[in-house]
Amino acid sequence: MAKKQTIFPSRLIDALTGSNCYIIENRQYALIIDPNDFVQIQVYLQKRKLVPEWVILTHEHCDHIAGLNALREHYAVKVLASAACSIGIQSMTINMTRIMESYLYFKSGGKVLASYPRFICGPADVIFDNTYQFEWQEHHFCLVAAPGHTSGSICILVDNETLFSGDYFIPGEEVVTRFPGGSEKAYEEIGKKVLRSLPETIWDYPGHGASFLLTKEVKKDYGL
Amino acid sequence: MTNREQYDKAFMDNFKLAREQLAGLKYRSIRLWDSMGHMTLMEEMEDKFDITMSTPDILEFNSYEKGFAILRKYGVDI
Repeated sequence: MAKKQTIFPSRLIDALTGSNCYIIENRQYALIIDPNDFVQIQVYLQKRKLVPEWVILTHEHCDHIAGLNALREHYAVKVLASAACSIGIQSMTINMTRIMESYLYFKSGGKVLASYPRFICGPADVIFDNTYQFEWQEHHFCLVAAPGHTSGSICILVDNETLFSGDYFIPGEEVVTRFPGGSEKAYEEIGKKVLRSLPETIWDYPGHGASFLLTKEVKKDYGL
Repeated sequence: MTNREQYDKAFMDNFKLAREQLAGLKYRSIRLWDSMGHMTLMEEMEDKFDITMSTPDILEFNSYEKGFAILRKYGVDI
């Protein structure tokens, strides 16, 4: 049986890339995970009269940070990311904006040839190497570096019962380690260990696709 | 290293091939030259020759031989 959830994140999906942004709110405050599309985020915040305080990045790829620059321009948010992610968002190669148009073309099976701007973001305000824990609005956040998909990938565990796994555990997809900054070796040696150690029977909110219950069987499907 | 040697090296390093295996090589004709391998190869071409290719050119770059013509469009003497 799944543990009782203490948070109920709202999910905003980027139409072009299918990436998920999650907004956790408490009273009038909000914490944003992976700001993908600023316009959608702004509309949501304005409708709910929310003040965003924190942004957490699950990793450095552009589909998860495309709204970050505008968000920082409009709101006094603090950005929290792994040190490697903070470096990655400052590079058009590592954040994948250099090849995003081609990637989207291939990903769509040659159906979508969309324009995608190349951009970089400034460094995160708070960075960490292996783990980082903090309290926000009476919730406990535990961030753990899980390199492999990218060198800056992390998993976010809230109250030990809700997970944000970034581009790990994407329903129906294998873990990809061949993108810029990715490493099969790091995934095998570190990333897998972190994923294996995550609690089971908790809700996972992945970087793409719908939330699901993370079970022993799901982990087994990923060779964990 | 000449431009041609750099061009060949990009293919050989990315796709783990010997120089004699490059002629006639086409996109998706080997396992490593898939969409992800292609994007990595294109980034390396841009870095090596200090150019920025348009997306249509990146998508047209579908064989070892075709790449010469595309790089020449960007002023690469190859």
